[in-house]
Amino acid sequence: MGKNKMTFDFPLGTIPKGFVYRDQSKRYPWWVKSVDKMTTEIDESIWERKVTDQIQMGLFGDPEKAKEKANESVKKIVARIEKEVPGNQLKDLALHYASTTFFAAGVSMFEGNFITHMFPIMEAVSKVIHPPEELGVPKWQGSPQEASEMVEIAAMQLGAAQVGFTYLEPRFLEHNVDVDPTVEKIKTTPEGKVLIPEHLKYVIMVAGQAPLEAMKHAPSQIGDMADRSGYEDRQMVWFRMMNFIRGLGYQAKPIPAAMPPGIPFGLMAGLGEMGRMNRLISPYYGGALRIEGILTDMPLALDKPIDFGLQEYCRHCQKCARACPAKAISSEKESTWEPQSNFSLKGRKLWYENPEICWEWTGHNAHYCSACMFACTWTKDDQTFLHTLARISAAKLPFLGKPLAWLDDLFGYGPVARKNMGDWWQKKRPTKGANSRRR
Amino acid sequence: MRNYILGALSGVAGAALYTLAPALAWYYWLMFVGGCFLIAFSFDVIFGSLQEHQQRAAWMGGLLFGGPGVVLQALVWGLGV
Repeated sequence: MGKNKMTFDFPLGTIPKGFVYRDQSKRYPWWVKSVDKMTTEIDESIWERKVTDQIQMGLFGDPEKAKEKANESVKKIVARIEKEVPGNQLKDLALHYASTTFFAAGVSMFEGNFITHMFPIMEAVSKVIHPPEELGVPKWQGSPQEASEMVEIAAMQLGAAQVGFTYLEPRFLEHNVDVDPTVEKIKTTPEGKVLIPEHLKYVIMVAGQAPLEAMKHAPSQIGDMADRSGYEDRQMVWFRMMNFIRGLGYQAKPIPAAMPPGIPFGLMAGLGEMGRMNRLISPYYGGALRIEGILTDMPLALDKPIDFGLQEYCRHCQKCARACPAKAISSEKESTWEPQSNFSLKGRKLWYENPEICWEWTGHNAHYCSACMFACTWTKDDQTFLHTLARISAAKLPFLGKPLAWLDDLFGYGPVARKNMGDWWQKKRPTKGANSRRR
Repeated sequence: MRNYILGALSGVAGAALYTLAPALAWYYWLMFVGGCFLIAFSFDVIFGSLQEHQQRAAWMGGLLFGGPGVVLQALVWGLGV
């Protein structure tokens, strides 16, 4: 970036000075610690930034092959409908389609390519907003703490499962996206570089929850519907919150990318820790959280990363790795600095998931999976105090991960077997498919 | 409501135990309280799990927590009174 190159006087993954932070003591119960550094180890000297466009090319291959694969998927879907395979019948598929109405992103079944139609929808739904400058009134004013509290209340009212605040860390952005103090608006250069103005330095992370009762049926069209519903819930809150911020007189923009790098921002905003399955794991929602970021110039009080013992717990539990039908999740005890596929990024100490194997399975089976996310022992409804006890035990005695995972199995938690899936439509389900008391 | 009913029932049972065996040894009282806690907890697990459509967790919770609770109560009422 030449003269605009940013320098950093703090290590990546730690909270920077110069921002106001929220009081973290009331955010979580006592067994979740607020910390100044994310719990995933980072080596900045080898840090690689996300390359979604290349990942998409790599995962979906050349368009002709992708189309061929997609057509194979269609045949499988049709065969399952004809055989009335539980969780894969026509009504299940239709429900799956419906669950992605506003999300409008994913792999198109007949073309094989990755589509992101959410941005035109976002553009359309922003037309109803008349910001203060149009009304001739001053924009909302308040302290960063007041702003964060207000935004959190609004987001929860508008459907968020949880909200966190962090700063725009350029090193977390995609390889072709940077912060540039010379631009006033987000701008794409002729070389394809996306530049974000410096004043959009606050990030609001909003999270939607996938409906657990349906998620239990992963992998199937019903499970996929649950996964997509989580994204769609998040999407609705995302759109709504951008309009809310604009309505207050401030700018609100999505993090530029087809698949924005949400997890590192979510970790810094204290929504969870990085788990074995390479997803953000929430102490409340486990793997059922779907997150997305909003860039804004509204001064906010930030949140801090959290530590609930997950790095040690994941070493022992390994339930997600056992549940993965593609065997794409590492079952090694120790995390590693060595990426496990062409699409894994260096610079993080992880139990690397192999996305190539995961996507191969997805293509072969004609629906997304998400079995790992429901299998995670932290992914629980909150209807019994047993889960609170289990969470406290896991957070404070994480070396008991293996026996706790065994107990989780004993109690029958985790994805249901396909032979037992058929009765999903017969069950009484709670409103919106989620039971959580926190809603 | 369920917890209030369980609390009230435990209170009534405790009063009855005190009436029937006023000189009960302290360890019987400990077993009584432990038994009440386990039974109440098993109810929480059973009904909560059924709400979550986790039938196996419901009966497993009943067995693992309610079972020892009933055994403790049986010891108190059988041997202590």
